[in-house]
Amino acid sequence: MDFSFSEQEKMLQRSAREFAQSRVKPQAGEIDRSAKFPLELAKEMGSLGYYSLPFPPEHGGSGAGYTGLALVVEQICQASLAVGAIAALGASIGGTLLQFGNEEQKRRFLIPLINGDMFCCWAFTEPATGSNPKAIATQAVLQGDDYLISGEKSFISFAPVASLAIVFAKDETGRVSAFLVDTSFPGFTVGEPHDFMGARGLGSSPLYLSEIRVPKESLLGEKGKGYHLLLEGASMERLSVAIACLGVAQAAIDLSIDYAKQRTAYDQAIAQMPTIQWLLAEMASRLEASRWLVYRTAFLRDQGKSIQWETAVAKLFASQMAVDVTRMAMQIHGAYGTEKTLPVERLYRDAKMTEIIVGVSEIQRVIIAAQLLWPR
Amino acid sequence: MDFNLSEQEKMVQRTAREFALKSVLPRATDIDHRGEFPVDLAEEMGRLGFRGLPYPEQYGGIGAGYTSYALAMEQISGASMTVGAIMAINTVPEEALLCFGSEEQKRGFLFPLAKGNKLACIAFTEAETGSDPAAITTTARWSDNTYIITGQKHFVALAPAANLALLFAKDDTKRLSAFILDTSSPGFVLREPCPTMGLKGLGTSVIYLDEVVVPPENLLGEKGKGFDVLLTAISLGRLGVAVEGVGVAQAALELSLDYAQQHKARGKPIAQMPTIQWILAEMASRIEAGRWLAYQTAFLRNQGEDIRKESAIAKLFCSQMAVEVTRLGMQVHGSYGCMESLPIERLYRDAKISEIYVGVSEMQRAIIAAYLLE
Repeated sequence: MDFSFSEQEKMLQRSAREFAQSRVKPQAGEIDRSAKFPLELAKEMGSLGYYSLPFPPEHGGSGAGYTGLALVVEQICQASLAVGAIAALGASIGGTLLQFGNEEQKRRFLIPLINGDMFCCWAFTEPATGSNPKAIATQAVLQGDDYLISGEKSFISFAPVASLAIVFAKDETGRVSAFLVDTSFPGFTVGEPHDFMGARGLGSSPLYLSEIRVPKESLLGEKGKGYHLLLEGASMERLSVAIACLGVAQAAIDLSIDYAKQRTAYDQAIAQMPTIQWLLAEMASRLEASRWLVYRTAFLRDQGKSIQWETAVAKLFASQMAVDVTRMAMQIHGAYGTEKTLPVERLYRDAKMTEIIVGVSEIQRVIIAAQLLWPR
Repeated sequence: MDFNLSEQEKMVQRTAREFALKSVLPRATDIDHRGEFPVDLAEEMGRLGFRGLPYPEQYGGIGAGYTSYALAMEQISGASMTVGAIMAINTVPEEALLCFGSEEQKRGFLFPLAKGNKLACIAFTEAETGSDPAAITTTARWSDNTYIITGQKHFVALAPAANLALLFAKDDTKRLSAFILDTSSPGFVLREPCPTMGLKGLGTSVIYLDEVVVPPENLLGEKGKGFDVLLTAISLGRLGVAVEGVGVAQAALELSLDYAQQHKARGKPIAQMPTIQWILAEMASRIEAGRWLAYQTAFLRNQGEDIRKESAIAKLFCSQMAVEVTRLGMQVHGSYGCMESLPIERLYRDAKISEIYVGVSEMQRAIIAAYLLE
């Protein structure tokens, strides 16, 4: 075992930190308030190569792996969970295309996607179903050489800026297939963005799909194998969320340490109080435990292993940690922490989202327990 | 970063697993029920090299590093936390000798300890003080070119079997000094055992020191700098407790998985119940988090780093994790889990000790917070 960072890892971490502190942090409050997708930052991350970090050089990547991605996203999420999540989600969607796309699809879309010249959204969830793929109602009806796709999708990140969508629909066999859909096709409508409590700025919106005619070649992966693609893609998104938790929690700890040193009560800095020290120590130890769990999960993916179980473990643990740690940070900040002028209440709202998005904790536990009890 | 185990780490882990399953597990219940120190298992660990894993071969050890040490102890603790703790506690004086001992002391004391020929205990805690060195009352009086040590020590694990003791006493400057004592010295009196709720069979006892003559060459580190010796050595003890927690928790999970698949309620295995699955998933995810935190802490020590802060973090987290995970394991087992005929209740009692010994969680938090606020 070697837990030390390579020179490349250190360099990546440092440059991501600079970007996060100088470019992202000053805008974090405004992104949260307006809930507007930060397109300029999203493009900038493309030019910095963040969407292609995990990919091999022959596909335009830097070969830094998912461990490299983890280090970068963690830094960005310290400044803004939304912006860090855009980096992670961007890389994860690129990864899906790389893994499942045919040569033609990769040739057309991969480079624009990883350069940040084009965005692609992941359209699975529907108003009536979150985690049960068998319950999706969107249909893809074969008509000659085309599919006609109709249905409704919910909570779709990147929707307002995406020119491409990975749409999951049931084909005429009743099985789930994935399609690469150009969002400028007639019948593709993006609704009013959802007004979420946290993770604001991801552009999460509903999609209305009305008889969109897409050619057969738009199938992503094999026909009827959309479920497999979904599981793999969702697994990588879980890893992204787990990484994001590290950044949010670290930001909460840093703010709390500063605040505790400055804020006085009974003529002493509250940092001197054992009760405040109790909170700080708990925050640090829980974050540290999550950190190595998450890095290791990313490392396993770099080794070419399937990590569907490990990402469920990492997401379940890290999201609960982020909620606990930001809650403790709120306690340290007292009444000031509840004010919108300080960033800690945003961290608290953002952290809660991590227990919800990309599969609620309850689903993660089901995935984890199934593998423990009935290993495949 | 490379989270793969090296060939040597894999080999140590495998050897420890075999030892744990073959020699330790069949004895675990008996050790717990009778509360007797398992001398033979301590000796076997010595023969297998487990008592000197991290230390250089020139000082009797295996030179396999602290990560191998952690991997081995996790396996052994999964079978019996008491046996894992014997390994962990004996390492604390070894660590003190490695970091502070003279060449002569390393050859004279560390070598037989790491080789497994001798066993050592730590005599720091007293009736009136656990974590506060200022309150130590045991004295080391300088007289006729020797130290004369007088006092009483409490909760000394391994005491009945130990050949050496890492002892802390106040010298004539009123400051703390560290000494290596031969437990066969006249005046070193093993007194009553301290029966504990968990971690039974560790030989935890009271020791009386009645004018024990200790030659100056047994002073470890500089005179008056005993606290420094304690802080460095005990951080390895904390890593040990963290790893014990991981081992015990993993054992609780494995027992719970088996039980949930066998035990039926309303005509089907309780493993099919979402509430039981909830518990099992929580257990597994917390263990995974604790495990890599503990390994990373061991790795830092491999790199020659001071792990005072990191070991406090690992101990705080892993001991709480072990208590929570064994509690959840008890819930899966229901009434059967409360019976002494099943091992889960022993794990539950053992895990609780990890939040207490080698510094209560409250001390760990104070240490961690001090580093954070530095």
